[in-house]
Amino acid sequence: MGRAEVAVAEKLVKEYESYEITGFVPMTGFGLYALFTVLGEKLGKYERRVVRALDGVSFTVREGEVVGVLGPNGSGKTTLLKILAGLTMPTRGRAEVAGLDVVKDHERLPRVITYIPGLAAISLFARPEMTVEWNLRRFADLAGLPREAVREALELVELVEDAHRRVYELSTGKLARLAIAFGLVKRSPLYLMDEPFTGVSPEVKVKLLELVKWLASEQGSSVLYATHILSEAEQVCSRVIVLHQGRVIADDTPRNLAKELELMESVDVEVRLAEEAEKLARDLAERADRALKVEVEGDVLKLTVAVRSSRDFVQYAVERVHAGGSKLLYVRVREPTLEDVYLALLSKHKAAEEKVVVAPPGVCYIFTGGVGGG
Amino acid sequence: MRWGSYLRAFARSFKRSLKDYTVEVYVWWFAYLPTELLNIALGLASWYYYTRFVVGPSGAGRAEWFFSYILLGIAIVPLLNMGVEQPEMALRSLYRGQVSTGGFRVPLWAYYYLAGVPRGVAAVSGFVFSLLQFLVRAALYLALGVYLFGVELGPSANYAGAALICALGFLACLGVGLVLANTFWLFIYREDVHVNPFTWLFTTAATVLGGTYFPLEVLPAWLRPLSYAFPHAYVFEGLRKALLRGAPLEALSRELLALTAYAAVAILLGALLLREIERYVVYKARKV
Ligand SMILES: Nc1ncnc2c1ncn2[C@@H]1O[C@H](COP(=O)(O)OP(=O)(O)OP(=O)(O)O)[C@@H](O)[C@H]1O
Ligand SMILES: [Mg+2]
Repeated sequence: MGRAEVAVAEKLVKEYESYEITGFVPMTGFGLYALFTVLGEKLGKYERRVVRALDGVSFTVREGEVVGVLGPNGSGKTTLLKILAGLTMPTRGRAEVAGLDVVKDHERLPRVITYIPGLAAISLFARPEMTVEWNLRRFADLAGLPREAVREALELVELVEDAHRRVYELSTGKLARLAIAFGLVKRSPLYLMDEPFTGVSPEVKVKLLELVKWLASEQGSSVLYATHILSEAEQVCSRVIVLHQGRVIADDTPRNLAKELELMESVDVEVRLAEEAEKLARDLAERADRALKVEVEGDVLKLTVAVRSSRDFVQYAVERVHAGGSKLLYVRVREPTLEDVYLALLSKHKAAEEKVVVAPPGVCYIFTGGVGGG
Repeated sequence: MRWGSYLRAFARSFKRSLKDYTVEVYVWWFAYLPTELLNIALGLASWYYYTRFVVGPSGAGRAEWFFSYILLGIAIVPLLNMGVEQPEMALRSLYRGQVSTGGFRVPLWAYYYLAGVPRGVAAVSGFVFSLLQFLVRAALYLALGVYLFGVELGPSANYAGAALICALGFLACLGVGLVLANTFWLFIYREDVHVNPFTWLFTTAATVLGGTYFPLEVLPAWLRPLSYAFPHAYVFEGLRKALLRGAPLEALSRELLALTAYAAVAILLGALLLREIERYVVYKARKV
């Protein structure tokens, strides 16, 4: 391929520290209450926990690639994207974006990434009582970007008509589109999208997915696309990385993964019978790897089978049906979907070990504020 | 090169503060400014009549002097306390944030960061912005005192000396603020702590014991050393000498020296601590 590497991650580890409260935590009062709260929390029972959100993650993303980041809830997708965006620091390991180290060149990192966390960004980026355009302009001005960039971003997410409406008036999907617009005012070599299109209605989503593809193909940017919606990933991603409990369990094209997992294609066949249904069905099923469904309606046989190679099976089926004098009415081949791949991968890795490490108590008890949150 | 880009980021960030402020411009003109003026005027009026009452009808001239004395205290003390409180408030506004969808906690520094403004620059520009506001407020106090209540500062008032004392006093307070800002990390995830108890304790004690309202000689001897631990004490003594008694610069040398030393040590220590502790919390303690 010979294309330049835009993002590199090498043995990334990210640990979060948190405290599990098991004892009494006093109510807060007024006045010097903060002091008492701290004291109270020290007296309460705590267990220090270290959650390993990412565990030795390595991969590269090349120019013009759209890479899907998939994985169950809490598998570390958001953490990974936040590290590449410079919004949190890795505990160990190395990550580079366009040649910039995410820790050492932290200050320059925003120039090479565009971070689109979908709706999550709204409360940060927008003042709800001001208009859509005012909010976008405020961000563009702060970033030193030209005014035209705002117009363009509004056009891309189809919010031009709502430019002069106040943000609190917008519906969920339009808010999500505004959140995307904050990212699109800036063009960069790497786009980090974290469930960006949650809440966007299908007809707009289709266009936005086209836009993602366009960013990669025309602009040569790379995209890391974290999502649960596998049909979206299937449409835009040329490659997927599947995370499970912070580890990469797969990194390839969906097609290769299906092959590797020996996922079978399914074939539907309908035949107008001129011979005994049972005999034909038995012959066809014997050639397949598994028969999923056999039905006879009048003189029509309906058969669904799972096969490793649909090519061989279909060829055989055509010959066999003709040989018996029957007429082939309908054949459909279904390749395994990304969903099949994903589910198969996860069930393979289900028995992975416990990821929560309980650290010995009494180490770092000065900062007692940290429960939950990020 | 690097400083040039910091400067440009500062300008953009400052403009953003202004822009946010002008959004509320009607609030400023129609609600904030009049109430602020009224607040200052009424506060001054109570002190004005109070001094008249305390001094009595026979003490002509003394009431005016007493009132000028108080005015200098109450006009300047918010400015000094702002220096103590601002660094912690800047950290708080940068690192606090709500949990949003996606389990994503979004603090303000991320907004600046994604726009290419380093968080240090954002904090400094916010600080400069509030400093300007507080300067205007102090100026309003003095202006209303002089023009509305006819305060007369001494015949040979040393304005340059007073300004120097104020500036150094402010820097000393800023140094203390930088040291105390580190206490923010104790409350990083406590969204319900709106007042930092450490800066609150310092400013409250400094306001009373530092001599905003009375000379320190009236305090019992055992309390006086404590008073001189606050920069406020040197500021008010020097300020009143310069403006009410027209003391020349030489006569202010004790206060100037003390404040310079205070500012140098506190700012150096504060900046160092702030940098190291933030680094520790972000990288090692994995808090952010
Ligand atoms: N600030 C934090 N403190 C403690 N633990 C955290 C923090 N942020 C994330 N985690 C934990 O790290 C792990 C990975 O979280 P992350 O948000 O990256 O998952 P995700 O793949 O994005 O999940 P989802 O699909 O639900 O968005 C989870 O176990 C989560 O609880
Ligand atoms: Mg997530």
